Amino acid sequence: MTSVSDGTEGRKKMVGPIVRGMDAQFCEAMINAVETDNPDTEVIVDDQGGYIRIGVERRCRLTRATLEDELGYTFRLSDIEPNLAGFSGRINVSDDEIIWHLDREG
Amino acid sequence: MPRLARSEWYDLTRDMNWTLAYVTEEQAWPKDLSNGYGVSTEQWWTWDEPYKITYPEYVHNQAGKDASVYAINAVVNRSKLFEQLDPGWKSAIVAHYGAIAVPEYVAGIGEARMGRFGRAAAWRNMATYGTLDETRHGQIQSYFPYTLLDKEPRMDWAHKAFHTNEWGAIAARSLFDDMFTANDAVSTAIQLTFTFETGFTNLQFLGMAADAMGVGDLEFSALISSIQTDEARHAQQGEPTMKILVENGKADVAQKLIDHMFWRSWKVFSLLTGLSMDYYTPLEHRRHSFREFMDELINKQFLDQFRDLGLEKPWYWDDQYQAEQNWLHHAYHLGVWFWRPTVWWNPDAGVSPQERDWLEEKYPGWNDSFGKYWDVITKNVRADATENTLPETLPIVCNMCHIPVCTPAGYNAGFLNSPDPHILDYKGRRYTFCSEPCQWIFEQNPARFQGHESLVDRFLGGQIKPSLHPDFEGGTITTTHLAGVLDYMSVSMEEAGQDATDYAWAFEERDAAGIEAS
Ligand SMILES: [Fe+2]
Ligand SMILES: [Fe+2]
Repeated sequence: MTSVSDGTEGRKKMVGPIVRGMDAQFCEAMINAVETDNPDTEVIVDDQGGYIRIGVERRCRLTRATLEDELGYTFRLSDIEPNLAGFSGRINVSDDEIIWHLDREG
Repeated sequence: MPRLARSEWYDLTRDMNWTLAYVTEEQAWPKDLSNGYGVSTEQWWTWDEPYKITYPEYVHNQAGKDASVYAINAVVNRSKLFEQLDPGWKSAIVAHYGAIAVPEYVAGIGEARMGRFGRAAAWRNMATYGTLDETRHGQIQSYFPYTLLDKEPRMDWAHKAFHTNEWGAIAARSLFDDMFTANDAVSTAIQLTFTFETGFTNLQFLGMAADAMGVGDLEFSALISSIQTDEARHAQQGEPTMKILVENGKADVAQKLIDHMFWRSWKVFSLLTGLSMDYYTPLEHRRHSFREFMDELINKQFLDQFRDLGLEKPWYWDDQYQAEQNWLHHAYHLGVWFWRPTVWWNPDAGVSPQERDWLEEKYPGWNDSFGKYWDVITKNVRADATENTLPETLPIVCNMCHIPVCTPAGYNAGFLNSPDPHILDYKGRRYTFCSEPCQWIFEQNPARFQGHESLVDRFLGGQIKPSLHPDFEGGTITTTHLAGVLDYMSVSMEEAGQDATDYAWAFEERDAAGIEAS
């Protein structure tokens, strides 16, 4: 019998939004906003065509203010939903920011 | 005009919790409809969704989502896009609509049950949106195939499949009845919204959206990724439900609910998504293999999510689940292709020389384990003996997942210790299972499953009349012994699946230095 490692041990846990690959301008704004809101951390962008995965290790922050700056117009945070096809990690939505996070060690 | 921040009024509009005076809690939330697992009402009232939305926001967003997706449908319908799609890809979407459209609508029943029997007002509020979401998914995935009917008549299986006794429909009904139609609200939150939606729907609705963009099926990509934006929200009913169970010493309850539904979801997605990604999607447009999507979306993303809430991998993770990911969907594909008259789409063999190279690269050892079966099939096709590639009777079907038992293929590929199915004699009846976890699910709650008859049980019990044609000429389904079975499945001769490319793959030669396919 062949046994296979599941590769969960010792890897980085990435969290963040998965954006629908429809509105190129919006995708661009999301990527830039996540980069601005998560300084000093690596932001990994994986463009799969139909969706774009944006990932930061363990904790990813996205603020309404930064997203508005990037888009160039006022934006309610709840208006993100039509473009938010999913996410990794756990989400926490408040008035002016969304946090994706994973807290468990190991 | 200054406006209050949403958080300043959100809880007030959401938390209409009732202190019961005229009825008992058991009368208002009967256990069969809402199993509180002994957690107190006050504790349930701490339920707080992590993904918040208000009704005006919801209506605004949903109207916009529908407007944009229906606009794409209207434009695409005026084009030749569908005619130009690869035949294998068409099969993947015909299979998708039949397997998904009505079950989405039925998922609305599960959401509505949580909307009434959820144990906190906040939860009932989220579930109300979920009910509307699933109604939308049922409608939109019935309407889009409807607009394709003149191009592909089998698109009517979007509406028809779930109402038939086609074997895949029996498997789907069994799964969805277990998960939400016949489930209580608390278990539904863990099994439907958390396990199925937070986890597995991403495979079909995100993974396939990626492939669809490559293929050029903009409509399908826009459709399923838009649906997934609803799922991403209403799936968040799982986390707070799970948190409350864990905080109140019921982690074992949550773990068992996940272990149960994770396995059943794995089975059905390896059947639907596994075949679509690794065999039906044209080679040049495959973003990842099914296995790679499993690793990304389930084995990392979803595993991280449920471990973060204090739960652990299901007990069968290392021994059964990891092993099956190497072989199960290859065996399913072989079976579905061989029994192709019993499905409503045209299975694409997907084993041309180049595709076999890709399979070998993604699943090392594929040629030695699965390729050798296709060698025999290829020889028969080339010898114009396609009757040898068609079924004469039914396979053994699992009494839990209702998918044919493929253990011999898993054994021959080196991933199982025995080719035998798992047998359980229980209260005078013999049950057959494809795997240890399927049997375990049955044994956790025999009363829930013992009365259900698999397709083979129905055949042996005389509900299905075999039609034994003496003049088996082969090649067409008009003369197979399966005619009575197809009748029972509501699959007409015109609809019965055929090879998607009329066996073109079997005649493709390797170029230059390569080995010949047969
Ligand atoms: Fe849905
Ligand atoms: Fe759903």
